[in-house]
Amino acid sequence: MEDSAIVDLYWRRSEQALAETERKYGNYCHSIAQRICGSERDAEECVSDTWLAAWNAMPDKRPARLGVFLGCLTRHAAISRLRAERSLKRGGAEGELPLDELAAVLPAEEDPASEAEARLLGEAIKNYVNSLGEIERHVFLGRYFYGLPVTTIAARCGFTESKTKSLLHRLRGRLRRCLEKEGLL
Amino acid sequence: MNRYDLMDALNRVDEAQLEATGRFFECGKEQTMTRKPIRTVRLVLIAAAVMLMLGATAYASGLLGLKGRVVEPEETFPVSFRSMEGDEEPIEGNWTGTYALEFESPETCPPVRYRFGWLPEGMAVPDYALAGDGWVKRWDYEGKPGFVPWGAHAEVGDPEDRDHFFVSDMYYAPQFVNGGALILLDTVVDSVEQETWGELSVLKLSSSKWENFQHEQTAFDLPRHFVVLFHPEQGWIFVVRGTFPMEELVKIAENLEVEQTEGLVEHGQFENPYDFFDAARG
Repeated sequence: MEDSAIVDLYWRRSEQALAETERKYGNYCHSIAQRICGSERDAEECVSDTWLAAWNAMPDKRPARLGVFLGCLTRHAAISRLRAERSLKRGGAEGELPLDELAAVLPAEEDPASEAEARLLGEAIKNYVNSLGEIERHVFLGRYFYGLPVTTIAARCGFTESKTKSLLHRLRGRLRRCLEKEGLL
Repeated sequence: MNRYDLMDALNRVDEAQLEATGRFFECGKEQTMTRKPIRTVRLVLIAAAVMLMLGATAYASGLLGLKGRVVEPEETFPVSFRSMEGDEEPIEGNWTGTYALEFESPETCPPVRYRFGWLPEGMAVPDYALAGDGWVKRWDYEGKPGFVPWGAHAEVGDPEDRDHFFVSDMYYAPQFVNGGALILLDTVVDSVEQETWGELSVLKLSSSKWENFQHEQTAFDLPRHFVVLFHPEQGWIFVVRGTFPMEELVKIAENLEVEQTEGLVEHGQFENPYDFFDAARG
C-alpha cells in the first residue's frame, strides 16, 4: 500500500492503518530499535510504542515521508527506553552501542537538555549534516541514525573497516568542533 | 546535554537526507532477514542444514583426523559445569548445537601455549584473558602479544567497537576421542571449506544466521567466521572466531606460534567428552 493511503487510514482512524504499517515498516522499525537498544525484547516494545505514537500523531500530522517519520518515532522510543534503563542503573554496561560512540563527542555526561537547548542542538546537528559530503553523510547517518554496524557500512561504501572507523572518528571530531563553535559544549 | 539528547537531535536532520541514507543502505530490505516468523526461519535453517550436509560429506575424506558435520535436528550433548559462584555439585543438562567437530586421535598429547604472530591493524591490544579459574590479567602490551597460557581464552577487540572482535581458544583432541565432540552453539554454519596446511588440518566455517533469534547480541546479524586448526600428531586444536573478515582470521591462524610445554593431556582428565564454543564475545 502507498504511504499516502496508509496516512489516510490514520486520518480516518481506521485500525487497518496499524496493520498496514506493521506490514510495510515493521521490520524496518524493529531493525532501528534493535540496533539502538541492543535487545530483541526491547526492540519489540519500541516498535509497539512507535505504532501508538503514530496513532496519536496522525491526525494532526501528515508526514510526507512516512518511513522517515516512523524511523524517528522508533529512535525516540528506543532512546527514551535507554534513558530510563540507564538512569536506573547508572554506571551500568556501556560501550557497545552507537549511542556510546557518539557520547565521546561530549566532554562529560551532564543533565538532560532543556527544550530550548534540544531545539538548538537539533538545528546545529542539522547544519552539521548539511555540511557533509554525500558519502560522509551516509556513513554518519548510517551509523548514528540507523545504528548500522561498521561492517555493513564499510561493505556498502567499498571501504575497509579500519577506514570506516577512522572516518567515523573524524566525523565525531568535526561534530564536536561544530557544537563547540555553536556554544553548545 | 547528554548522549541521549545528541542521539535524539539526529531526528531533526532533513528528512530527505535521512530517506536517502536509508535507501543507500537498503535498511528496510536488510531487516527482513531477522524478523520473520519462527516457522519460516526454521524452514530456512533446515534447508541450509541439508545443503551443508551434502557439502560436508563431499569433504569428509579430505582431512586427517578431523571431521565436521551438521548436528542432527534432535541431537543433544551432555553438559556438566559449575556456576561462577563455585557450586560443589556440577549443573547437568543437555544442549543442542549446530555443528560438530569430531576427532579420532590422539588419546594423549603434550599441552601447548600459543601467541599471535600477527594481529589486524588496530587490534594489537588484547583486552583480557580468561584462564581456567578466572580472569588472569588484562593484557596491556602493544604490538606482538605474549603467550596465552594453558586453558586460557583470549579475546581481542576494538575498544571503540564492541562488535569488532575475535576470540581464540585452544582445545585438545584427547578430550574428544572415543565419541566426544567439540560443538558449535547458536549459529547456523552456511559455508564450509577444508584445507591442509602442511601437517595441519584446517576447517573454515562461516555463519550469517543465529539459530536462536532471542540472542541479545548488539549486532547479531553480523556474519561470523571460524577457523579451526588441528594438529593430528600433537593433538592440539586451535579455534579463532569473530566478526573479522575470514581473510584476517586466516592470517591470524597462519601466523600463530605454538609451543609444546611440560605435561601430558589425557582423555581421562576431562569430565565431559564434549565441549562447546559459540560466535559471541565473553
